[in-house]
Amino acid sequence: MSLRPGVRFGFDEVRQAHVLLQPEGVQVLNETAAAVVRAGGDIAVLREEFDDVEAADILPICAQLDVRPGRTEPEPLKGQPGNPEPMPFGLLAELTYRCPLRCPYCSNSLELGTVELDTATWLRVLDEARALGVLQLHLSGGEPLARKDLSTITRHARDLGLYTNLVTSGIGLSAPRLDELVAAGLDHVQLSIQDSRVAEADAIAGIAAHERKLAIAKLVTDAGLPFSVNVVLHRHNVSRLAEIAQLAIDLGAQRLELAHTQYYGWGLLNRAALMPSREQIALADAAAAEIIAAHRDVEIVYVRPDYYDGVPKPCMNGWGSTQLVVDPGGQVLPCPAATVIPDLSPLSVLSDSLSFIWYHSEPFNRFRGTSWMREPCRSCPRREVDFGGCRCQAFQLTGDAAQTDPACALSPRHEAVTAAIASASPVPFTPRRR
Amino acid sequence: MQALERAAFTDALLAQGERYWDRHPFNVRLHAGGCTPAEVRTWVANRWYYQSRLSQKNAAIIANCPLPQVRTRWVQRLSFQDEGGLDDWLVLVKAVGLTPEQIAEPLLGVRFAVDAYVQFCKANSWIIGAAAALTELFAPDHMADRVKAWRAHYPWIDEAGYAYFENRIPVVRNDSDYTLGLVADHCATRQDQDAAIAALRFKCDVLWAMTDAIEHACLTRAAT
Repeated sequence: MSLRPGVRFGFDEVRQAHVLLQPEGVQVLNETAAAVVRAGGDIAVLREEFDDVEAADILPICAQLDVRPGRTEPEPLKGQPGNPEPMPFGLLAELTYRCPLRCPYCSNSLELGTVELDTATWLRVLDEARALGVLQLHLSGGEPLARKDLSTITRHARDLGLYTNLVTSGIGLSAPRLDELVAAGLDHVQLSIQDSRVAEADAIAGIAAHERKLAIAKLVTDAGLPFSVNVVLHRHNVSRLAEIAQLAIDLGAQRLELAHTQYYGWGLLNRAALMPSREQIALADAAAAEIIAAHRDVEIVYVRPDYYDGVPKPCMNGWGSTQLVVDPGGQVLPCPAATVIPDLSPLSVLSDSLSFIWYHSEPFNRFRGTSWMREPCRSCPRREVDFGGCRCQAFQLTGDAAQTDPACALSPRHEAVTAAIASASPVPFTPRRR
Repeated sequence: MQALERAAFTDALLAQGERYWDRHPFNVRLHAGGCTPAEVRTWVANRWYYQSRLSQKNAAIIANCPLPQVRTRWVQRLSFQDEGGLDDWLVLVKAVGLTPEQIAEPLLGVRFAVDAYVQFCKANSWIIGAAAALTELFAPDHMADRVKAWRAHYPWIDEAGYAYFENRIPVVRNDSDYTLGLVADHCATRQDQDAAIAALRFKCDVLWAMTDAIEHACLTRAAT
């Protein structure tokens, strides 16, 4: 194996390109990079194929892709070529809104529907997603373990070649359940941790979850599954960022995501109670930099809060460009928060094909590209970098989804964000409904 | 989680018969001859609203179903209702002394219950909608008892009014066998089996809630 654990090397027949499937996303390789991966960075092997190749030429590729010695053949990722661009890379499958936890920053909608797709429809959705070009499946929710057919769905996804990532609170993951998922071919587990301290963590989760999560992290590492920890930061835990990161590293996480709360759904409802002070943010930034420098062996991603930066986050890397979401009842969305936009009228997998919805439906085309933009976005040099920020946040804070995201300092409505920071206060929060 | 064996699954579905509306106190009284003509009319008039929405419910199941062989079979339900069934119901309406105008507006509780059923079939996968239709498993005997009891207790009802039930009983037996097989075939995971059982419970609750509303209206009227 010439790659780090949790990474798969394949040839995508839909894109007609070599790809690396990784926990954090898909990387499309050019021919040179593919040859380097295949040869495990062995210069002698590469010289059989390429004249004049020098070690210095391939070192940056080896470093960037973390190529290790040993030859690897790409697995075929079956499909038919010929789809027009853009083709989606990832499908976020929100299998259920049921969740045993009650985290007040949950980004699920306040109106949690109870309708759930049946197994056969999910399997069909996966078939259609692969045909469309999807390579990565995030099994999410709610708590996806609440679905009794999770291993059936996982197995089908793996049979299609999809990279399967379980996004979980861990609650409900017993040893037999994990065995079933491993046998089904699960690639990666992303486990949430609320805090480093039991009482504080359980106060956020709304149930005694923390000790169970620690045991579950051990189950996952014992099973040899690559695993990430993800932590949502807010005023009640952000001062323990270093301690929380250390816990995640001690648990054996290969990847750690420390992300400030994004204010959607229950998170928006509880914004005043969750929002840190500017001083807390500055201390967190410093603590994150320190821990990243001290742990080069763990991939640590620190996601700064867009409210404080004056720079908006890139909306889904472009609306309808790389990702799609199917919600528990079958609605297809460009982003998991998009149901807040009231006139969006998403289509359902029950009535339309994923391909039709992706390429031709109004909700996916509404904010595609840059032609929908107004000033100051339209002429902004960053319009293809951050895409005007988040459409859902623009709607939530201005009432108009086509406005510049107020998180941007150039937005005429930027005060919506600065005022929110000023309104942060130690008020009680409303736990997410189960 | 392991799926139930086919027999255990179909047994669990059949066990929902405990919640079927034949056990509702109002239906028990209706079959025992204890209802006044006005109460029988209230039942018929409100039951019509359910009848009038059945084809839209069935069309929703067809619309959500990707399998041609299931759709061609299920579409027979549309023709049964829309090419005779509804007319037969209107004959019953007349036979109990009501006019079509008098049945135009259902009780609010009946409307909410029936609309919830149609919405359920629109929002769920076709197989879950089909599972909700499995109250048909319990319907033939109930319908046969109804005809027998009404003939005995309510001789004032015109004999022509029983055409709907006479025509529907053999069809519903056939439909329910088919649908039970279909649900058992297509609910292959415990997830879907549990959802199918829950759908059938929901449907029993729809019928029960309709009857609650009808009973409440009859009792309130009697008291005033």
